[in-house]
Amino acid sequence: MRSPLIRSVSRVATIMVALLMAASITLCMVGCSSETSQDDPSASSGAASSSENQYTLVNQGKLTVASDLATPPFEYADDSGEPQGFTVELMGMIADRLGLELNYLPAQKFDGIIPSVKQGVKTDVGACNITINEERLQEVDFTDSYMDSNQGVAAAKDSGYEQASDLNQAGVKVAVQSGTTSEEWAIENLPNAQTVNFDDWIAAFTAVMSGQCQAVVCDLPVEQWMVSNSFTDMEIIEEIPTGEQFGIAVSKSNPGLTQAINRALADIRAEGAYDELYEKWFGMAPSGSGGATSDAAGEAAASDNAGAAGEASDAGEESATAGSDSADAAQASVEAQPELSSITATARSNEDGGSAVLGGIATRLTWGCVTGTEEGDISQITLQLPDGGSFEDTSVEAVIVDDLSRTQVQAQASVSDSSLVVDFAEPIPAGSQLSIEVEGVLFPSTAGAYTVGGTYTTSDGTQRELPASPTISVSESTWVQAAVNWLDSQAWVEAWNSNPFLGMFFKLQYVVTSIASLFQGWGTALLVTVIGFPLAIPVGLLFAFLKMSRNRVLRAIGVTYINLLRGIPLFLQIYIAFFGMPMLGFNLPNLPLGIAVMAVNTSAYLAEIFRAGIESIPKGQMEAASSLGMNKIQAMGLVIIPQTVRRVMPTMTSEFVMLYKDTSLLSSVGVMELMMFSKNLTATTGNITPYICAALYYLVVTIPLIHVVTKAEKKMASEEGGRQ
Amino acid sequence: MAHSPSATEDRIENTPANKGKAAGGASLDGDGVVACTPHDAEGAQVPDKSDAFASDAVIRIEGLRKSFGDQEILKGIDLTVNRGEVVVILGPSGSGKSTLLRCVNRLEEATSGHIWFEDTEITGPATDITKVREHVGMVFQNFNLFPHLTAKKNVMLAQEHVLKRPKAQAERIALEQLERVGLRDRADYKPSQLSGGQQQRVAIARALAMDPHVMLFDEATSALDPELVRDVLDVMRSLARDGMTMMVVTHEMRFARDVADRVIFMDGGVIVEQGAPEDVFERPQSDRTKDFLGHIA
Repeated sequence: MRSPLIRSVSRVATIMVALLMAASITLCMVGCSSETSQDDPSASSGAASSSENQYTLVNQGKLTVASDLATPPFEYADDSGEPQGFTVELMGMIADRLGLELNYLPAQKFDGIIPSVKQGVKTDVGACNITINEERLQEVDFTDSYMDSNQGVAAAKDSGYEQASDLNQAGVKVAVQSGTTSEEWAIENLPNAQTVNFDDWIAAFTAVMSGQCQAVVCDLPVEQWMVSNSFTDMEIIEEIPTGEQFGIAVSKSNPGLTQAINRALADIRAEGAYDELYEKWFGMAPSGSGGATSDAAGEAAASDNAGAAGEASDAGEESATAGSDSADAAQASVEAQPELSSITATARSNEDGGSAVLGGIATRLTWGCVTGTEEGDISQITLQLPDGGSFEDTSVEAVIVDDLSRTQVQAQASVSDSSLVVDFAEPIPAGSQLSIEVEGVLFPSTAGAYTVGGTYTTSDGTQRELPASPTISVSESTWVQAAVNWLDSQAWVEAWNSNPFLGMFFKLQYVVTSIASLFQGWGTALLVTVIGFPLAIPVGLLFAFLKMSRNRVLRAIGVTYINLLRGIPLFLQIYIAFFGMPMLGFNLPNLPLGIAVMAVNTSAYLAEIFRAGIESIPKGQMEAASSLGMNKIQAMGLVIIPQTVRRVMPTMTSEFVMLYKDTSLLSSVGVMELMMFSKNLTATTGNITPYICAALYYLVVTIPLIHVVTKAEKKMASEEGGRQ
Repeated sequence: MAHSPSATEDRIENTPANKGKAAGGASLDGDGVVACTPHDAEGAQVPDKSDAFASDAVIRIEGLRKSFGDQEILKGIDLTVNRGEVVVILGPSGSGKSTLLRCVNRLEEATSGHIWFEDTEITGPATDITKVREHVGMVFQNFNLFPHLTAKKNVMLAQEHVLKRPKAQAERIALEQLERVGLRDRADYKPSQLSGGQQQRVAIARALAMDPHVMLFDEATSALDPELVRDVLDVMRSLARDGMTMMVVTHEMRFARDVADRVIFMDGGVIVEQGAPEDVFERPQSDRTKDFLGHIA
């Protein structure tokens, strides 16, 4: 009875040692790899000589790619486990041109791809429908875009949801892949619904099919493929023109590789190989591919999405027609009115590690309208923030949206008090759907629901009031945000973060935001444990008795229960429960279901612990109790169990620690626990610090418990020795 | 307790073992199981030994056989223990004496044969054995105290939960019984804080607190260091003096000689010889008995 305990204690010790070693190795490697690239170009691949640019590779002669291999038709593993898909073949062509062998890593978690690219130890590049955006550009470089994308919202065919806005209500759950731009879109545009994060798209779609969630938001091409191939009982209810672009992520310390890939991409496009590949996978050539080529050859892709956006969106729309019978209904219809109408306004979450829009801190406002048909072209729009709000930035992006195509409009903005005046170089035609994105927008620092008002001026000089926008709910800024802002301004923090190891594992701003944002997840993990474990005890005891029963049927029940649950990975049990139960009509909320699954699993392990504990009590105890006239139940309850409890207490505590740690597995099915929060943070920041903070949260509970176990064990050993 | 079953008629003749001085007392008429007054440990009713155990059998065993697998341990035992009688069972290891004792409170199930406790046939399939065990005290070689409870709680536990005595009463009786075995001052000690001899005396107190009609001692001193044996034997002596019906399996010849009303010598699963201690010890009839006593002495 001591050995499993010692084993588990020493296991923890081993893990800690391993963790330390891993950390130090990483530290060393970060140091080494950056040295190699700067001081010792000869260590880099031979392929580098064929190009003017020097670059390093993690494996000589190979282009190593990280991908989740769970995003068909772009990247997925076929039946034999081989990577397949549009991106995989494109990467193959790029590798060919670089004279390298293509080397796909086994499937990676999406949230781990950017950190892993940044480290440059495991992989050279990440290619996984990664949308190029500001946050990610802070962590890694991107190549030119190789694909344009939009978002799509899909629901079950008979769901009754007809457009995305139908989902924006309390009680609706929207599935997304954790850390994606789809998640960001859902949080910004469906603030009343609950966004539920999953490890990959397949899990997210499965959650909708099983009824656990009502809809999924996903990159449009992926969604189209899913709906027409795997999840045919679902349909796309709305296509959202976001004008995103996918790029290949490359470490910032490896600019040579980025340039080499960009050249290869340009060649592939110029030779028409890109179009052939596109046609092979999407059934048609990308329209306006000539434009795409020039675009690819052009400068930074992230800032230039106007021309390319239209072309791929058209393609996307056509493939939607081919793949899904609901394409006509997919685009939410925005009817033009005689006057300017259909005002929309959303603000992007600016809470580090959270999903709220905080007042007093810069955010991005997305404002939209449909210009009136009877009022003439519009030459100027003035956006007015409520009292206390201000515009800090005059960088404005104005886009006219026509179905999925986005056409950029030249616009000049100037700030005047709390209003922003946007002058259009060319007036906006009547009846257009206009979208304006403004960075550096500060809402009032007191919490509230705010609208954006203002005026607009038609080309004939008439100025009219803008109809009030829908409200944006703004939260008060927190001490966390204040702390982060303070850290941002400190020179020593900058120095600290500039160390590759500290910056990746202990970036101070992320330490603060992680600790604050993970707290809620920690509460959930504790809740699952402190409710689940007591539930598991009586169930475990029951099955321990069944297994010890003389009745063959009862014994068979006990043995089956224990062996099944101990013989199937917990992760799989969680998947079966979360995706299977709703299909049987038991649609429990996530948290109770999570607690139930963990309790059931733990009960099987406890049953074995109890059985061994009971059997370790000398036979004489039962005989003595019987000889005093106690019946079986009295003897068990008064004599055997109390002694068993003492004996199994250390092992039980170890089991408690295991349960607590295993709650992390619930993160993959959308239970908002510790791991989930840290995965989310890591996926959005591309930094490992949230994981380190999560580890601290686990250790805060496990270390004292392990200490208690060790003490109890020692005490027991001395007691046992003292007797006799 | 109900009137005894019809088996009463023949069971008397089937007690050939009962040839010693108790024989006369045992030959009752069919209705012989009279006066089932529960034996009161606190006392008043101390049978007079000179009266030759006037009357009733507490334990009657007929044709008892017991096998473990294909090994037969008991090969037909017939034995009657009368109220107030102290029966000491001797014999070499493996002779079946412990098994015999454990069959009496059905810790071992008889393979065949019958055992009665007073007028209840405990080998009957419908018998509620826990009811019988309330009145049959047993003391084990390894004490088997409950290690998680203090001495006092050990003695109280079954009183409270089996006899349903109120806590205060159970506690009072527990302290009385601990007093009786000379351990009142150890009432709040855990078993691990007591010596072997003290633990065994607590175990005796625990059994006595149930007001047993008979006490079974299964090698109660065999696990003890020699210097601790005497205290336990003293307690057992005083019990015998107080008129407790006892079946004692032991290797303590001196105790057998001094305390036993009847000595039974078992070997190879049968009763080889029985009688008054002076007869068995001074004038053993069987060679096996002679051999055994010779070895012991």
